[in-house]
Amino acid sequence: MSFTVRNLDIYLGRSQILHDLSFSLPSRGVTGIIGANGCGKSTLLRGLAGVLPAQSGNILYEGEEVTSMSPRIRARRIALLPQSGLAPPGLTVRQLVTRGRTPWLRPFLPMTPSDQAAVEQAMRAVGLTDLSARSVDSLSGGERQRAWIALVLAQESGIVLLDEPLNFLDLPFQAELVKLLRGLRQTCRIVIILHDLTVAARLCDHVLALKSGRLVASGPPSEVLTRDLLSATFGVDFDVQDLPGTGKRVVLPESF
Amino acid sequence: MRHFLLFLLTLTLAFLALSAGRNWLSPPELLEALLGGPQGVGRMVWSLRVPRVLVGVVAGCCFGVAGIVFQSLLRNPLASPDIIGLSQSAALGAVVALMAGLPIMFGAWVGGLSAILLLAWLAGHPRHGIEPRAVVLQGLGLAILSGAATEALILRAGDNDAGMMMTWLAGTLNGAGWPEVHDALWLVLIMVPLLLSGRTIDRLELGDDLARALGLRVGFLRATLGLNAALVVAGAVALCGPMTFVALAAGPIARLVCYGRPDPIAAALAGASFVTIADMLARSFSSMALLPGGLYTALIGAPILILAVRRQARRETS
Repeated sequence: MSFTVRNLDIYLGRSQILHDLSFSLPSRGVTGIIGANGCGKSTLLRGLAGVLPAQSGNILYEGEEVTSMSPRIRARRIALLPQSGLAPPGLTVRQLVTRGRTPWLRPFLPMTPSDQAAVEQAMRAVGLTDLSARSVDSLSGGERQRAWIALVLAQESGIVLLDEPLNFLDLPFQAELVKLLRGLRQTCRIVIILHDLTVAARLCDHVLALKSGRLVASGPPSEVLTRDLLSATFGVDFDVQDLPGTGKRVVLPESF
Repeated sequence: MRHFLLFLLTLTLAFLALSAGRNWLSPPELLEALLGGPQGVGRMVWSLRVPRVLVGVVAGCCFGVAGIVFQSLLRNPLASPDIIGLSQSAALGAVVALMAGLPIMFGAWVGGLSAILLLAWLAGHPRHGIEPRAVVLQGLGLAILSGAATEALILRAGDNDAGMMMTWLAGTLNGAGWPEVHDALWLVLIMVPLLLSGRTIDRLELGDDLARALGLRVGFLRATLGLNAALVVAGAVALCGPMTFVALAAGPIARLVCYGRPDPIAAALAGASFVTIADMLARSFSSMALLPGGLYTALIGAPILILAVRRQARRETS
């Protein structure tokens, strides 16, 4: 399952957001995208998902051009969870997760038993089986984010793209979600936009650092989350420390 | 199952509407009139009431289904065609066509389609596409503009026609006969894609990016569904005038019945029931026989809408 980006340029309107990006994603595990606000992280994720057109360059999934796949086929291979999900009022967890089966459904026909099984499996994976009949608006922030993640898991794509899923969550919810995502990396390939660099160091197997729409670095967290590369990416200096004995790396701006 | 119950309700109301009027028919009398052939009461029922009820049912379906499609596409329970100016623009086109001696349906379609193209162009953004909130707000302005232009045209037309046209402008089935049934049958065909769009509009409510990532051709679907719904609602306006509130209220009623999901078939049936009830009331009170059915849709629709919005708001805050 190769996923390769070559010389990618993406424009929004007339302004160029991404400049000549080239990288390959590892075949399994979690890839984190880091960078300052407005550097094109979300645009890159939307481009990888095929929901934005690329002006030039290639996005290749197993050698096939993502932007020229039919939307349904593409949706069976690549799932995207946008930053702000709109849950229509009153929708239950099960109904929301069911929406993830859309690319697999035959027009006008109900879900098959295998669709049902995928929905159950996704809810089990995020630990929401007991809350499946609750309405999404009544959930806590962490539970709600898990419900959205179950939606993209139910899509059963080879690759899952998550746009800042940890945003606006309290620390306990973040910890819960990081644990969930670490568990998921055995079974699916995840690309995730992260703000917290300590979380990125803990969660990711591979990190892409972006600055102003250009790739600054691409590699394992131990090589990308370093003082030099981080200050090149964000324009400020960082303290980078490995906690002795745990293998955890702590990354904080020096000015904190 | 829910569709079947709503269908039964519509059917029952339609039969009630066939009995209703200045002289009420009991069920056996109605049956005899319907089966008895073209003499006496049978003739009155077949030539007046049957086409009127049929046109009302189809027009109600049109308003209902177009209402829920627009509310869903624009993610706003207020964004029905009678609020965002499509009904008013279709009415303007119809009045112009009437005065110019052109087919009314043609005029209404030109009016409705120009309105939706104008709104899409005004609310379009080069980076973010069409902004739903801008459509609603600019549509409010368009509704007032088209309404004023129509009234000016009607008032200029002269005394004889003005009263009749003002009644039509409030929405009425007066004058609906077999030729209108023929037009209505075409509208039934045109609304089929909307009736089948339930899953699509449900997915579009999740937001454009997610809908795209789930494999929907978002731009194409929004454009075709919007144009289709505009055609359908303009056609209904040509049949019976812009019946106030039907398109606005049918959506929330359908969602109440269908666990909050946008269900076009339920909305169509709700709209049909609604118009049928209103027209029945308009015909039953003989002293007020001149009052248009659209007045009753407003009288019934407004409280229903308020209740629906209140219920939804309460559920969201609890």
